[in-house]
Amino acid sequence: MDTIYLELAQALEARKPVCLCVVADSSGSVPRPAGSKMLVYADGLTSGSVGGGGLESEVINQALEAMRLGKTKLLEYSMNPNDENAVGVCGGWVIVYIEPQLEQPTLLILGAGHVGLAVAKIASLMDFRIILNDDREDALENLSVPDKVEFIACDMADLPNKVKITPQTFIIGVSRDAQLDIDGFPALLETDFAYFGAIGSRNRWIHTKDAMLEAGVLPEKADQIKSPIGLRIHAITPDEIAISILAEVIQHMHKK
Amino acid sequence: MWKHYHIVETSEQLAELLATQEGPTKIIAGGTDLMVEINNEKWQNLDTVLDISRVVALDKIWQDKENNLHIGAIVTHNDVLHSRLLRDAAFPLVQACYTVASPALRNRATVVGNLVTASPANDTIPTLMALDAKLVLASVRGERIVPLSEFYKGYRQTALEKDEYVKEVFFKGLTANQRGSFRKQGLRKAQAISILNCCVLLSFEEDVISDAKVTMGSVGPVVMHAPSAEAFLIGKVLDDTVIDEASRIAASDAKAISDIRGSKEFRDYMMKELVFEALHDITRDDLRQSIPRKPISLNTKDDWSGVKQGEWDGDTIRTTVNGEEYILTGASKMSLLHLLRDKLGLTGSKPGCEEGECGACMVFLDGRAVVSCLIPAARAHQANITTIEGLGENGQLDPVQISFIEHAAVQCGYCTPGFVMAAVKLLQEDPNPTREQIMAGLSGNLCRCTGYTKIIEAIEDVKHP
Ligand code: FES
Ligand code: FES
Repeated sequence: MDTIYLELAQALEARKPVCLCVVADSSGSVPRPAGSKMLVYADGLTSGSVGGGGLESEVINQALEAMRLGKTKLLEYSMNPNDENAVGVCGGWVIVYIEPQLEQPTLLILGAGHVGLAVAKIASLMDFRIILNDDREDALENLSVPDKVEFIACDMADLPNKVKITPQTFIIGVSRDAQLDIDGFPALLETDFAYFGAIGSRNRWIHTKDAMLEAGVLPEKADQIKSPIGLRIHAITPDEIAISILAEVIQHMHKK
Repeated sequence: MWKHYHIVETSEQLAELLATQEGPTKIIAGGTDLMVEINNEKWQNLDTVLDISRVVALDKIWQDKENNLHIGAIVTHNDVLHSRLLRDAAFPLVQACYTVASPALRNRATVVGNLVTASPANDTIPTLMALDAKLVLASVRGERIVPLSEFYKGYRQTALEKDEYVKEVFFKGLTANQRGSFRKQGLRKAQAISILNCCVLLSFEEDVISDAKVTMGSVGPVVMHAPSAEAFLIGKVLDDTVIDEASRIAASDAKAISDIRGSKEFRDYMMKELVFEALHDITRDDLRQSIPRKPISLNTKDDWSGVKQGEWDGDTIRTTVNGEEYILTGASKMSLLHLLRDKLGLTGSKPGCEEGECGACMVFLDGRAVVSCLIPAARAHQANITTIEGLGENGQLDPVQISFIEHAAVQCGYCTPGFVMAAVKLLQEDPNPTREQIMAGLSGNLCRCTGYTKIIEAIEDVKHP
C-alpha cells in the first residue's frame, strides 16, 4: 500500500489540515510518473513528492491556496523549456490533481439556553461537530440533548485553549447576557474562525461592541461579528430562531 | 424476579427511593449484569428494582472548568465509543469499551455499571484506575467523592452505602504529553470476559517518562497497580529494552491467581505479553487507527426529541410493538423477551442462552438493537419496540430475509431471527458495510449449525429495493 495514505489517515485522525496532490497524468519526459503523490500541510511542510524542483514548489503554493479556499484544483504544467510558463526542463507535461482534506465543520455554540439548545438539536440532523459551551456547569442538568453534542463548561474566554478553532469553525454567540459576550468575545476574535454571529437586539450589540472597543478590541475585528445573527425570516420561537441561524451558517458555508 | 418496579424520573427521586427502601433493592440501568443474575435466580428475595435508564441528568458526557471529563451513570459503552471528547482525551477508555461484549450489549451496558459490578475482570476499571478517576456517590445525605482506587473493598465489594448510588465518574483528560493504551486477553474477540487486561499510561517530559501508571485486571480479587513496574519506568526513555524489562517486572507484580479462565502460569506469561504490547502501542503513531471513528453500534436512534416519561403505575405497560399499541397488565415481572413471546405471542424472538451471549432474542428498542432477554419488560413502557415479525412492508419479506433464503444462510433457524435483526440494523446504520463491519455487527450473535460464511455472504449481497 502507498504509505502516503497511512500518513493521510493519521493526519485526519489528528485533525491536521492537509492537502493531497497526485500526478494524475503525464506525457514525455517528466520527473515523476502518474500516480506519484505528495501531502502538503498547512505550514508548507510536505511528505512524498510529485517531482521536486520548480514543479513541486508551484504545487505546494497551489495546495496551500486550495486549503484556504476549500476547493479542489486540476493543474497542467509544461516541462518544456520552450514554453513560456514551464516549471522544469525535462521536456514533458504533467497534470496534477490537488485535493484539500476538509475537516468536518464545527459549530461552537456559546450559551446553553433555549436558543443554544435548539441550535444544537436541529444541527444534530446535519453533518456538524457540535460543541455547546456555557459557564454554568449544571446548564444541561435535567435536559435531554443529542448524544452528538459535546458539552464543555468553561468561561467563554477560555475556549480557545480547549477547542481547536479553525477556518471550519462557526461560532454561534447566543449567550444569556451581554456582559458574558463582552468578557468572552475578544479572545475568540483572535482565533481563525469561519463565521462569528451574535444574538441580540440592535441595542445589545451596540452596547457589546462599544464595551469591547473600550477594552481595546480593534474596530475591524469587532466588525467581523455578524449581529443580529441569522437570516431575516421573522423567527420568533427558539426553534425558529435556530433555523434562521443555521440557514445563515449554511449560506456562509456554501458561498465560497 | 422482583416485587416492585419503579421507573425513576429524576436523580432526586432516586435518592429518595433508596433512602426509604424496605426490602432488598437493586438499581438497574442497562441490566446486562443484573438481569443475568435475576434470570439465574440469584436474587430470590428481590423486593424493588429501580430503573434509572431514563434519568436524563445521568446521561451526560461533558468537560468541566478544570478539564475534568464526566461520565454520567447511564452513559453506555457505545456512547463512549462515539464521543469525540473521550476519543481525544481518553483514548484508552475508548479502547477498553471497544473490547466489551458486542454492539447490542454495548447499547445497554453502562460504564458506571461496569464499575459498580466490581468484577476484577471488568474492562473499564484498569483504564479508569490508571486515569485516577473518582466517583461521585450520592444520596439524600448529600454527595461524596471517592477515588476509584478506594472504591473496591474486596472481591465484588464496594464502598457504596445502602442508600447511595454512583452519580458519575470523572477524571482529568489526557494532555498532549500523555499517552496510554489498553490491552485485553479474552477467549475470543467479542463477547468474552477478560482472562487478563491491563492499561498503561505514561507522561513524558521531552522523551523521558515523568510519570507512569500500569494497572492490571483479572489477576486477583481487585484490579491493581504494578508498583515496581511504575517505579522502574519513571526517568527512562521508552525503548525496546525498557519495554522488555518493564513488562517482565509488571508480570511479577501481578501475582496472578488460577481460576476457571486460566492458570497462574498462563496468566504470568500473558501479563508480560499484554504489558509489552500496551507499551509498544504507546510508541505507535497509528494507534488511533486501531479503532474506527464510528464503530458499528447497531444504533440508529434519533434521540433529540427527548425521552418519554410518566404514567407509570407500577404495573401497566403502555408500549408500541411493531407499530401496534398495547396496554398490558400483569406483565411487569418478566423479561421483555417473555413479554413478547408469552403475552403477545410474538415467538420469533428466541430464548437461547438468556444471558446475553447468543443474540437469538434480539429486538430493536427505540432504534437500538438490544438483547430482549436482559431487558425488564417494564422498560417497554412508553417505548417503541420492533421484533422480527415487524420487519418488511406490506406483507413482503425484508430484503435481508430474502437474501438469507437465497444464500441458504439458515439450517435449524433458531439463531436466524437474531441474525436478521442485527443485519437489518447494521444496514440501516451503514448501507454499504465492509466485511469487517459486518463481522463486527454480528459479533453478538451465535450460530451452531450454519456457520458464519453464508450469513456474511447473504448480508454482503442484500439487494436494496
Ligand atoms: S442473548 Fe438473549 S437469549 Fe441469548
Ligand atoms: S441455523 Fe441453527 S443455530 Fe444458526
